Amino acid sequence: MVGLDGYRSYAAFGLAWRSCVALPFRSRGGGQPDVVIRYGEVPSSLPPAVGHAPWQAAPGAFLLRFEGVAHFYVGNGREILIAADGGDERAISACLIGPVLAALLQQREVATLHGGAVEVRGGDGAAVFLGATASGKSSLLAALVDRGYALLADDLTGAVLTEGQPVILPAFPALRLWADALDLLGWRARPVVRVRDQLDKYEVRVQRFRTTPTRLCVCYVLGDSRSENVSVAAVPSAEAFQWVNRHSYRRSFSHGMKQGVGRFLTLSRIAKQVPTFRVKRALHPFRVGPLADAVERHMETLFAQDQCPTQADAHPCPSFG
Amino acid sequence: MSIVWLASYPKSGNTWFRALLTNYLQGGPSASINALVGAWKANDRELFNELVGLDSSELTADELLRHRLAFHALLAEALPSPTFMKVHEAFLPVPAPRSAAASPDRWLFSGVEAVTVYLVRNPLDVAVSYAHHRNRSIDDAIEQMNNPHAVESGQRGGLGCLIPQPLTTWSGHVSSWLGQNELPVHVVKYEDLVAAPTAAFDAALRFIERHYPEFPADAAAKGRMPQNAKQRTAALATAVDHAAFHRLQTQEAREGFYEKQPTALSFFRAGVVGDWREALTATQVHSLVEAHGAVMAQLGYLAEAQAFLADAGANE
Repeated sequence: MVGLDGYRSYAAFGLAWRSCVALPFRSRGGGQPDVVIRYGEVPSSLPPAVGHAPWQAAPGAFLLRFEGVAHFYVGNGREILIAADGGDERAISACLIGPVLAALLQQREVATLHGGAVEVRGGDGAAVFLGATASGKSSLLAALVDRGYALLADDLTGAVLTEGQPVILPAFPALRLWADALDLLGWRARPVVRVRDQLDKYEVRVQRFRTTPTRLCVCYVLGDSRSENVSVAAVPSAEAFQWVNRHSYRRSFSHGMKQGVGRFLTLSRIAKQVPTFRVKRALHPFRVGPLADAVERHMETLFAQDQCPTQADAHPCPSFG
Repeated sequence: MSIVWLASYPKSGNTWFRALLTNYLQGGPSASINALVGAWKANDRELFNELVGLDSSELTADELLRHRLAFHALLAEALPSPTFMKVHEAFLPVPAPRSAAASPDRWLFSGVEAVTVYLVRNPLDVAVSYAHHRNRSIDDAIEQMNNPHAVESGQRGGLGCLIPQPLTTWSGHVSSWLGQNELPVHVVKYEDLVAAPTAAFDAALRFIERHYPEFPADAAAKGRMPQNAKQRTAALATAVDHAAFHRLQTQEAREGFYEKQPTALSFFRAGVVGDWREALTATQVHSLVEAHGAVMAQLGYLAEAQAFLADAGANE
């Protein structure tokens, strides 16, 4: 709901948000926000600016110049400033919940993973699905949501350590799917919002959403195969860090902001404590049903063997400095 | 800080040229087709997202082109110079953002220090090979070659792991690269690579060496470079032998080729010149000649096509 001052109050990633831009986050009541998003003056550069990238990073500061849409400044994990540059609100929102959000989470020492997550094991844990762009992560998440799993995050997943355990932060109750994925899932008739006017990509709200941070229980890395069959193979523990690190979301941002310690510790714990598997499936033809079947079967076997750490209850929201 | 664009319309010998180059730089045993120099860096979504910061899947076609300029510069900065990059895009102008005041013309491939090796092939043979590559009909390939809005890897309604490559038409593609004045270009005709591979490849190497005396960038490869004319002749002959088409086919059958379209049966199909005579109908040849005749004439491809059409007309 929009307040009298034009701001909305949201909850996402274990944080309270106050935003002048509509976001797909869950609404919340009032109270002191952890993060404020507002229009304002954005610095033209962060000294010492070098290189050709549209983004610059310094300790506690991040700048992204998306010419023709907006310029964004992220400060100390608490504030996002936007200077519009011709982009409409949806274009600005799309950028906000992607790289800008990743920079803010990294400033708060949250490890950002390129993947999505669902609640598993009757609420006892979370499964995360990592993979490159176009590897079928969101389609798989959608299929799992259809099968009764509650969503935790899509595309950008935040992970932290709570009492030494890797925990997934609940993001927001929406999936972003391309038109072909909607067809594949039989979701064409559902209410959707086009992400941007010129793109055939849609945001779909989901009802099943886990709202509390959840201990990470199993990690799957999606990849291509020449075979039509889906295969699931364990990643040797010595290689797990490399796989999880490879699928970090914009790890170069955190290097630039010199905030990689929390990220490193979280990824190390994931690699050490969380069983990690590679899932290979044919890209063409991509069939989401058999992929979801294989993942479900694998999780059943895994949990029956009690190979995942358990979680008696949801952890409290992690506190950020 | 410099790039050698290996540019071509699809199915024009780009990968074969990269196999020659890789074998020449490596010396020794045959290079793996799954580790060829000049792979898809300029179209790699993951690399783009990480280096540019923005999500390539949420950019419009114009925004993608604009940010490719920064991406190319970042790649050039990060890689040893000169670095090779295969591209299939036409030499495209980059549209300015709506919010920008009138800005000077910018071109997709000229934002960085670069030269181009441009590979070109008779469009009649391209049509046959492209149909196989796409696992679709020859008419479909010709439609794509005649379409000014054609895009390679541009899945409609979905997303691929490569950034889409606007091609324009076959002749539009050739004209864009050969008609531009921004970058030095060396043209390699596929037919010359087949007829005299050593000479055609050597000429391309000399073009690169003239512009980049530091070539090759890799110190180990530099150490392996021939020191005199005799050694060079031997090194070229070895590279040509190792990159012989039948060897590439055998490797693909044995190991697979990760750059193959998932829908195609194989990547290295025939590699011959003049395949079109058996595969194309007079109507199909006519369609390509009508659309691309002027550029075909410039490159010496038209006379043979016209003779074929005259024969077909006489036999009707």
